[in-house]
Amino acid sequence: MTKLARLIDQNRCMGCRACVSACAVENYFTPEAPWNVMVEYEVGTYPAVKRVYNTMSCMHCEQPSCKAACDAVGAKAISKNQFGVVIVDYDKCIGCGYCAAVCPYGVPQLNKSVAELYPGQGKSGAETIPYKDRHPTHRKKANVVEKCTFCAHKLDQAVADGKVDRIGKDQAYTPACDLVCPVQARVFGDIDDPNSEVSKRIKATGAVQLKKQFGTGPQVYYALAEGAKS
Amino acid sequence: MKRLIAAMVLGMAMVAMSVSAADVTTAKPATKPAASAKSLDPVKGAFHRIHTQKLKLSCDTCHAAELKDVLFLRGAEVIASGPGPVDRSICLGCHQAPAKPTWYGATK
Repeated sequence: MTKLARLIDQNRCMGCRACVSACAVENYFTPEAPWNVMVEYEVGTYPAVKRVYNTMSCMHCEQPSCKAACDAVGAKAISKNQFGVVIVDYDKCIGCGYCAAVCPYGVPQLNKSVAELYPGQGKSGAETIPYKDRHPTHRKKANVVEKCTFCAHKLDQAVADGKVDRIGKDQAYTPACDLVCPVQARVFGDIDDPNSEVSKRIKATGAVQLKKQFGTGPQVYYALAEGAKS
Repeated sequence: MKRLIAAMVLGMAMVAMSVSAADVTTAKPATKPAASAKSLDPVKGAFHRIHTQKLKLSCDTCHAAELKDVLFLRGAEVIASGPGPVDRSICLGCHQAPAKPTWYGATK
């Protein structure tokens, strides 16, 4: 069984936002509904202060509160796929915003309107793909919720190509944000495989999940910088 | 003549109503549909009604202060007409085991 997880190493991250930019281009999210955000804050007491960079996107929780809320209202637009990835079905979403209200990480974005990545400058990159030919997670709609999908279009391609074992290793089957990190602060792969790079790095760095007190079992792990919040 | 016309109009109206009713009956889905977005709006709908009317909580119980939780992706959002975002740690004051109800999706 393949269960996908991500490690983010705050001791390596320098806050360059390459991951944020890569996600914006790959998934053409708009500033009003970002899928990936760089949170930064200071720790320590002057003069011994330092800045912590904590990039955040969907945690793809084991017990997603967004899915529980969505199921409770009867929309059932949120599901977990065979890799444990939490996906929103835009055709089923009723835009009630309950998922956004209950997510402890503030991840789901109720996108009020579909906008171009570069407003007024025409479509660019993946936006030029005809709507019907796009992956379902890229068929954006107004007044539905959207969020990080672990680049589900790439994962589905890996399944179609019979190369699930190459997820997190090949460029074509790895989320855009993890590919572009210039300091290898991000690792993506199968956490069920003890020999995978992500499993080894989580173990070696003692990485932890954020906000464990909510009991949602996030699948994104953080190797915390000294003094960083969890 | 007027009575005849009135009776015809009334008869046609009744036939039309019965057809409409039949259409509605046949169009009714077999399963219970999801509630509408309007009725579930977290700000205007059940979400606030439960906390303010049933539980009698005042606004500042949840909207206590500025968002101190930096680990919140939508932290910079501004709710135009409201008193500001809710720090999720306040939610946990009630929504955490062994207190009930637990947080959505949280393990028991």
